[in-house]
Amino acid sequence: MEAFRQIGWLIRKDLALQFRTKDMLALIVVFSVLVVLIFCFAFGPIFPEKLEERGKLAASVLWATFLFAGTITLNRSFDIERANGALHGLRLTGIDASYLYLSKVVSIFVFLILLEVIVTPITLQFLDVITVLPVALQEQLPWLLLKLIGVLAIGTLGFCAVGVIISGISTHTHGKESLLSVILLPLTFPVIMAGAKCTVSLLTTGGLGGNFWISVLVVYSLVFLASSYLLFEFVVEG
Amino acid sequence: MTRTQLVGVLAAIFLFVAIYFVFSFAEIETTMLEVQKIFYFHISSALTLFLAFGVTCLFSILYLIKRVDKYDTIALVSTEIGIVFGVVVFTTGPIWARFAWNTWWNWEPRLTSALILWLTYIGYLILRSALAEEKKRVYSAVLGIISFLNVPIVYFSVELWQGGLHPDTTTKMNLPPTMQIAWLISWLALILLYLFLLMFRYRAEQMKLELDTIQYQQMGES
Repeated sequence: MEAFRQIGWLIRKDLALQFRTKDMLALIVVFSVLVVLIFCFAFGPIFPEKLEERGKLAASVLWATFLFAGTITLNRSFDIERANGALHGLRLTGIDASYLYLSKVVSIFVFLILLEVIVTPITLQFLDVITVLPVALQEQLPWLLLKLIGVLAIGTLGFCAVGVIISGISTHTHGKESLLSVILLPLTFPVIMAGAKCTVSLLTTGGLGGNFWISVLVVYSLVFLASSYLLFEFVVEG
Repeated sequence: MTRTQLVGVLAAIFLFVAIYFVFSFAEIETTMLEVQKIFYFHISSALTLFLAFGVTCLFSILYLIKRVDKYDTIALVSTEIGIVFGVVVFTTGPIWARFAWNTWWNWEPRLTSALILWLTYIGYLILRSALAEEKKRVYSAVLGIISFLNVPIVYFSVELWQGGLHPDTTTKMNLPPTMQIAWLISWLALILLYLFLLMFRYRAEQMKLELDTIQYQQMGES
């Protein structure tokens, strides 16, 4: 119970820092919308007619946007901890490194999910995906959106799981912003790929198209979470 | 003769033997003819690459447990050699693909995932060069372990999803006997080459450390 209480406090602290000024959320939302707009300009104004093509386009835009936004968020998350030795202060309270890891993953996850809830409908609207969907799917639009956010959430969890540990490492380097993305993007490739495949399937058929890709997505997210959880202690020891 | 030299000589002998077996002993494949000979070095390099990254992962774990610098050095040099074998895979692959699939490069599962795996390990080397000395070893070990998690998805990519052009992982077990022998010998030759390079690079890395220590001492004296 004590563990949950401590993790809860740490999450509260992180979320309070994130949302107190609203700067970060505003910045990331604006950034994400800009990325989506650039894609719209590149592919538009007339998007592919076929549902399958449009679904692929929307899925790739969504995932690319959230990857960029996620990388920026992760970069910032450890800056706050490193500044003024806040991390050492936290460690001096006797808190376990794994609690610190879990709380970071959860707080960044919550932040990114919020972003995804805001940006996903905007993207679908901008790319005009909804009008090409079959009527049966259009009638169940809220349900489809929910499933879409669900898939994005599992992918985001896998991304945050590795992202937190890598950003913990990269804050110690010179040129950390570019380094984080160079290491993180190839590492999270199984999650991104499986997530993108599930998203395409959802946007074109409304279903996941079998259990295969969703299994890869869930398994890899959990494997990343478990291995990073075990290794995080080594990252904060110094 | 030192052990490194012995392994080097063995690797050289086996490479020549492998060339003999590949070109004179193994039968010629019926559809691709001589071009198929690339197979023996392409697949063996790919398997050696997995072996090299496996060694990196293993020694990274050992380093985190025991904190012996030697293990970290082995993990580093194994990654470097793995990347070199990656270059061999990505050079022989397109040459073969040009004749077998009529294209130099194709975005099929194994190619794409292998390229991303290779980039992951280049990221490992970049990270190492950007870290301060005291953090370098621990952080590299952590990354060496996490990076290995992507190896299964590359190895099983052909079975995992359809649409690939690479044959599945059991194909190499069902080859005609002459081809199988030639393949096993060429793989053994490349493993020996890997071992030789590992020992050679390890020694070089040790010497670099010794040199650093001497220079540091001299700076202290002056």
